[in-house]
Amino acid sequence: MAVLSRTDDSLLGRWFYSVDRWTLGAIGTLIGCGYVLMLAASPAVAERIGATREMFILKQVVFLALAAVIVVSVSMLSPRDIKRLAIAGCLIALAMTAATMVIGMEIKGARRWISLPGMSVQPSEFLKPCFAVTAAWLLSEGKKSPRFPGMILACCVCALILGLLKAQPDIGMLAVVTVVFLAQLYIAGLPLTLVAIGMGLIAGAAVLAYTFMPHVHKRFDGYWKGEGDHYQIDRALEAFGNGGFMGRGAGEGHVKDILPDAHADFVFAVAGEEFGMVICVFILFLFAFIVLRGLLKLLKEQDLFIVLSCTGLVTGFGLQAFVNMASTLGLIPTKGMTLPFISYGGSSVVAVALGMGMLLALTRRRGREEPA
Amino acid sequence: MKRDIERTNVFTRRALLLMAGQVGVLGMLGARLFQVQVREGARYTTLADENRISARMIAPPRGRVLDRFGTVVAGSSTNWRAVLIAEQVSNVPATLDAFSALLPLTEYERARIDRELHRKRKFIPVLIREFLTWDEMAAIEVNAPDLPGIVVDAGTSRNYPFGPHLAHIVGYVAPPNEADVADDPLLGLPGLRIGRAGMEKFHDLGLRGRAGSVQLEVNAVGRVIRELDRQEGMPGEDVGLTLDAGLQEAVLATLGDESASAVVMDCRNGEVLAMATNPSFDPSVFNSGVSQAQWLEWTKDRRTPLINKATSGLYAPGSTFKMAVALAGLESKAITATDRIACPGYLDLGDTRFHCWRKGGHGMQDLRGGLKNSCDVYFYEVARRTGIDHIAAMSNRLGLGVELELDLPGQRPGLIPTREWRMGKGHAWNIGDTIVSGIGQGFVQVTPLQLATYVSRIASGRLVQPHLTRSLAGVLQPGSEPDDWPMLGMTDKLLQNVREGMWAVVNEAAGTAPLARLADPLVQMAGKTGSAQVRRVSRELRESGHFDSEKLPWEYRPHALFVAYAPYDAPRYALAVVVEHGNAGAAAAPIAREIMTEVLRRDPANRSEAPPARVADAIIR
Repeated sequence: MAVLSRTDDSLLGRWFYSVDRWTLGAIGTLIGCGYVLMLAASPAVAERIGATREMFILKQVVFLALAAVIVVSVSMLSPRDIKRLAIAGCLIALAMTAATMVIGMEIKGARRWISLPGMSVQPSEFLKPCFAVTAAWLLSEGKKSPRFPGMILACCVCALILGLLKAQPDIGMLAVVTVVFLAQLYIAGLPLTLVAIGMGLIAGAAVLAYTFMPHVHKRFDGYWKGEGDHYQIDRALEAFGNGGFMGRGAGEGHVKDILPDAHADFVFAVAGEEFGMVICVFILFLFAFIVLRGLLKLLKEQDLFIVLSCTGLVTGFGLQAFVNMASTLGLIPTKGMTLPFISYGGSSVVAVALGMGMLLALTRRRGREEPA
Repeated sequence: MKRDIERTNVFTRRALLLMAGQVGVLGMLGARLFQVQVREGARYTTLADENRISARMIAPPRGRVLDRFGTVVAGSSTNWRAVLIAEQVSNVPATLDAFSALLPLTEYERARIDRELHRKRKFIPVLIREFLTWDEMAAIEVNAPDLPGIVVDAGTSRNYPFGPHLAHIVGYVAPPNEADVADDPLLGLPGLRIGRAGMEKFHDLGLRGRAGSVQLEVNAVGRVIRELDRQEGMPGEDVGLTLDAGLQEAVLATLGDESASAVVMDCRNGEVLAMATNPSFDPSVFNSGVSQAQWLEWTKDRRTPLINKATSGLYAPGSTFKMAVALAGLESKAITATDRIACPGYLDLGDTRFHCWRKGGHGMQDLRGGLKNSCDVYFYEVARRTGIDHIAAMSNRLGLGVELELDLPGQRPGLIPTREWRMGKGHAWNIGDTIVSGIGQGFVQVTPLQLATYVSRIASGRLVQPHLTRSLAGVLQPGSEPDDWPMLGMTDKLLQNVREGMWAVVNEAAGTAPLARLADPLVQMAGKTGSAQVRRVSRELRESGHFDSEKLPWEYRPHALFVAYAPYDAPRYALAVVVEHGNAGAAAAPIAREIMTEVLRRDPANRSEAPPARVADAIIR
């Protein structure tokens, strides 16, 4: 660290001294993994969909670079700026998510995207980190001043978001947002009875859905009995087995030629086939590291807003990674969920970078004079 | 403050619980990874191996067909072929376009390739173009990186050095059809041919050999990384024929332009030394497929180039049948060799008059004279005395009107009429039918091969069967020794009566075929002429005296036949010649003489004792 020493008084110097360099390093490594895997998986996909591979790769390279810039620059903000950014982002993302209902593009049966010149944006991706911070703010304000109906407001915002996601439909994102909000409520000290009641309600809703909604019934049965279309999962599992411990070597994978979403939802299978269990466990370790270190840091944190925000951000991040990897490994039914930083897709990468930037900003070491 | 601490404790507990939950969830993923990638890895690897290991069949080289001296009559030559393996290409049209840039493909070819790509399984190579020149082959190899999935392989194409001269015997190969491929997947390999006629068909399985296979490890783009396992196939077995290809050519040269056939047999063991049919066709045409025009030309030709006249041309034997009638009469004791029958030029039976070929008649005739002069009235009477039952039995015994055990597909049995056969047709047998049969006319129909067999049996006294296969994979097959064949069951004395008559036909001044006499006075030939009427000659026409078969249109002229064996005192070679619409029976005699002279000069039966070809040679080639 010759360039930036602790005594360096510049903006960058102070940032580098105060930021959580371990988490930053883990995020950087993840972005690096994402770059390598994108190089492995994308050419095959580009060839299949008829795009030029240069354009395909270049686009993601730009997004990954952008992600790095966003992580760093957002992490430089003060907690107050983060609060403002998140609330503004939450409002904008809410508006855009609502707009997908009207002007959204329909891809594979779901209206999640808004077409902008040169790219398409999935606003709900941005909603996830912004909502986590916004909900944390509402909840912490509610604790601070009893007259502020923080809890009720947070619940309302959450309900609104869930309604929108249900309409798109984007069940995976809905589940993530729900779990994030529940985790925040739980950390915020919600009585355990209520937690139990909430869980009971979820279970009851699931049973009701299974009983009264035929397509849920069918889907679940199909998954449970191994029926229905599990071509993608079978190919993915084959790829993992094929890779074994050390993998088949870069570029030697086969699954990317077969699976249409090899570069996006199934990129983990490509990693497993070409680089083996070693790289899979490494990626898993990076996610676990970011999540656990984030939560561990909170144990010493006194500021409720920061605690709740980080809980939400980290939970959402970890859960998204879990859902993606678990569905690729055939543990849960497939949900259209990306693997943070690794999967192809601009919205996802930028949104995840935003969330991680916020996490880094909120966990920065602060002097006493710097209020939350 | 206490409340604050309590709150912090609650928070800490909960955060730790949350962490534990996350650790548990991520740990589960890790465990799953371990299970899938390491513990069940073997199973999934096997599944994935189906993608990784590509098994290919290696076409075995087709066996050769050799004549009795080892001359190749059907062999294989190198044929450079460009093939496309569809499973190795992601964009087939683009690859074909790239190929077209080097060697333009016609629309017809593209359509055929598309059809085959559609029909065949993806790992079976599809032929793009064959018979590439060296330069074309090199152009493809040099541009291989731009032509993924296209491979040049050195196949073989069938060639027939003797072309039309042996076409009917050796047969030909042609691309297999879908039914064949269903029976044997090996036939799905491009360039593989299946025997469609002749020896190529009869010995197809042996000639085909057994397919080898090679297991290749291929990478994600289908490139071969290494060979995992190789099972060499068995090259097809060589088939050695009894034929003498040189003699065959000489016989065909003798037949000239006539629509004719001739069969030369070793009369001691039934080996067919030459089996010529004229005109013929070029068998190599079938290798790549026959054009419509060519097919029409062949099928419309009244000289029937596609029909092997030697085995499936049916002719009334005419006077060549008279030996069978004589032997039937002798054996049934209806006549003796010395019985004399008067020939006034005709035989009246009821109100029907049967004419002798010689208007004035032959006077008193015994067996020897009857044969020598080919006296019709003599044989009318012998037939009348003997009866059709004995004649038919004797004919069949001598190889006429029955399916012979020839190892060549497409034989026709011909017909020796019997009472039962006639009844089956809804008519009663009458004596006139017997009379006409006595001179080999009427319903009697035989093939040249049957005639040659018939003469062989008379000459050797053995029940020989004509055969074309002498050795398989260098191993001599049974049947090449006279002792492999049973005796005919007739006394030599009985047969000798007929042999003497046949000798007289050729060697006595007044015989019917002095033209057939051999130049070498020490080697004598015995024979018999015959002419088979194609159209019944009406009594009015015959009695008007204006009947002259030379003036008839070609297709109504009678066929000319000649059967013979030589040397007379130690029979070796039997011969049957049929010249379609050759007019008088004597027309075939000079041809027979020329052929027999050539046979005796070459003497193939005596030069053939060494086994033809070693198996080792077959593999080196």
